[in-house]
Amino acid sequence: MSMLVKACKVPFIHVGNQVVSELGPIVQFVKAKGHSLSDGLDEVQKAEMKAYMELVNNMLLTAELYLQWCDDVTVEEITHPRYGSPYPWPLNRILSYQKQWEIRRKMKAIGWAGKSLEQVLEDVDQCCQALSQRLGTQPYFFNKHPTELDALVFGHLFTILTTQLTSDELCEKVKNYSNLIAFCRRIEQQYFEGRLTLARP
Amino acid sequence: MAAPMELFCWAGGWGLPSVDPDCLAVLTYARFTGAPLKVHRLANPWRSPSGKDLRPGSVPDRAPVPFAPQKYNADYDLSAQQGADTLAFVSLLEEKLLPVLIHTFWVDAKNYVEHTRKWYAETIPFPLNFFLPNCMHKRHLERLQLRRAGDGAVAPWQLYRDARECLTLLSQRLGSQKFFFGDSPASLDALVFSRLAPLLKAKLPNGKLQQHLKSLQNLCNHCAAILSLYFPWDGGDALHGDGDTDGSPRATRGCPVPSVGMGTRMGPPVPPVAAQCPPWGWGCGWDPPAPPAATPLPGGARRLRSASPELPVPARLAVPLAWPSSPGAPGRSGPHRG
Repeated sequence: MSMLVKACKVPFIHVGNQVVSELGPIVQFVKAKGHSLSDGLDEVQKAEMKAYMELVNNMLLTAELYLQWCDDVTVEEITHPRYGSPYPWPLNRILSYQKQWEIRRKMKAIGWAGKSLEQVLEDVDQCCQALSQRLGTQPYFFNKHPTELDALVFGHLFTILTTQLTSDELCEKVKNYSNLIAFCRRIEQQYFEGRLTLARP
Repeated sequence: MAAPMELFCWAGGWGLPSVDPDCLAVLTYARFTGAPLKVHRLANPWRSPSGKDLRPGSVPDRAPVPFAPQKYNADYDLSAQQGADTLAFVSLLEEKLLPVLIHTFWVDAKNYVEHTRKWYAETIPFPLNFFLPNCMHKRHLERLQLRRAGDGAVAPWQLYRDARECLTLLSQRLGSQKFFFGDSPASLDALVFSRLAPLLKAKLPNGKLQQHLKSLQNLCNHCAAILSLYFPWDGGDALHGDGDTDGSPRATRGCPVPSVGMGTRMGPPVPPVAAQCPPWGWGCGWDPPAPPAATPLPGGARRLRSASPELPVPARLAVPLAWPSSPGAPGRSGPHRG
């Protein structure tokens, strides 16, 4: 097993002697096995779906990383204790700082290092607005049937909505968009049978 | 009367108005909107008013910034959903295509040595040309590695696979339309053009991605249409022309990242150009010829007569884009100085 798992990130699936990790490759792999959610889309829709997935990766994911590793209050109170929790002292401190350094360098490379928290939240808002506008009144992003985009958006938004942070600014940004909230609730009810808990207003 | 907007950007070459994708994006966007810009094309990145040096990506350039959103906004006609689509495709470009562009131009050894470094070394004035290209190379390399930090090692072939997919998706999205959102160009068109045109125009010794792009006919046509419609006269190198310089304030420090500054904020008073330019010719930048008086056609729409008459210019453009395609436009002979 250890030979198979090289540089593996969660989530990964293990089939026979193959290990496939992360959303994109897993979707590809499952598609090769004959299961695809986006087969019903035409070419333009497929292109749009991929573009919106990159929007989530580019803005929402980066904003989450920023909040997690570059906002000093969150870093002190949440990230370091949590990230270091599996390791004994002093490894917990060392690894946390190593990770923090790595992420901050990455932020610098993509031009986010100089951003303030307000600017990052503004970006989140812009991203949510785009998603909200794209979703409109449809049940899923491409009408009746869910696609991998819906899974990705649900994963991020649900996490944002249900995670307790030092302040609820991030959560509030998402809550401004009622159709996104309804979208998360719909997927939760339909596919997770209420085992997750999205607080109702 | 507002101070004129001035744009500082990298010099042109390879048949493009500017070789730097970020500069090209802003320049193109400005042309789309008809915003009156005074363009300074620099070959010496130490001379921009912002004082920002040539660090790539120091301006996180998600989409070309609307200069004055009410007046010069190429996205004014877009619906909310089209605005959202713009944001999504911008992300797609930045995530999938940009790393590969950096790799193609700055990291791929053959391309870098035989094409990119050659151009910059010939364009940047002595003595900076000896070390600036290498500095830029290092910064780009670092930028590329850091972008992927935390994702483990990503092999170049994976990057290229993603980029090919990205190009294919763009091509599918464009379909048979003239521009991404119908008949008039928007900010997304400017951004796509700025990313694809260098790839299309550069004569790269190692052109894997280039070949893929050339097989996507509609994207090539898109670039060609924008180039001929909006840059009819300065396709070539505008820098080393007949020494046509403007007496503009290129006072302080240089910057290849596009920086739009207002004339009033721009540093010390301007000494005469001759006094400022060192003998080896830092004469950098010249102004586009002033557009002729507007020639409105009946119905309010304006057509571009000089370039491709079959392509109408969108009616919302505030300034006519029909410059005379004068043969006397300076510096169109070739990209290199001797």
